[in-house]
Amino acid sequence: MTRIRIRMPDLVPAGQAFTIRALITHPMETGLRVDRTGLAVPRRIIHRFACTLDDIPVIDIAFEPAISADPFVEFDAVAERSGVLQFHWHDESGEVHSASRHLKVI
Amino acid sequence: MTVTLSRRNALWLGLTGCVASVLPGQVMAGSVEDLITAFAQGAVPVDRGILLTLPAEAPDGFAVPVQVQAEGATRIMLLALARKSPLVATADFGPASGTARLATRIRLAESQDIMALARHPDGTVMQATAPVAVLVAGCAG
Repeated sequence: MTRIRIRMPDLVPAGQAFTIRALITHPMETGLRVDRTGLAVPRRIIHRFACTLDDIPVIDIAFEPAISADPFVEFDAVAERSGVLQFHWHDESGEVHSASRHLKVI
Repeated sequence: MTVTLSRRNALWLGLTGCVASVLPGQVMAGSVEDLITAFAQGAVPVDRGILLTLPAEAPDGFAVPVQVQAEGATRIMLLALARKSPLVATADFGPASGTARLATRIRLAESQDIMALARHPDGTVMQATAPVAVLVAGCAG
């Protein structure tokens, strides 16, 4: 079961950078692991993470398999007014895991 | 399906469930140069204006914390120089970005140098390299 965890401030001052921490549970299988029977565990990789604020890009990251399982990112955003933050994790399979959070700006 | 494992990989498999994909020394040096060249787009990287934070010793190779910060940069690239495939991540910072900073966790099979590059809108490129001693190796693919 994929879980998404996002940590960010409840309230941020307008124009002041604030930190977002985002994590998704995901095995980030490289396809090189071999199980006990000798079969390769299939590759399953999150290859892209993107965050937008009211559809304006905050950060867009291309992940390679060297990123740890349960990919974690910490980055900073800035906003002049309240809005909606959207988070998307793109699996190489085409599956997209998404979450959104309302951002309160004072 | 049968899988033939080298003795080294068989030991790895027993210990970690991973297959070591590269022997130390089999570094694809050309690919690091290619990645830097492609990122720098003609600029010569300079050794300032970028902060790469990494523990000197990483107890767990499956999750090595790393942070890159480069004031004013719009794009950052992270490389693990001993990996068969050195590219770790590339990040683009958009208009709603607060600072050009990214922290994440990476997995490394062995001690090595990590390199970060940052590109500014005017084309200037910064670079920094730092070593990390990996105490318990992680699957690095």
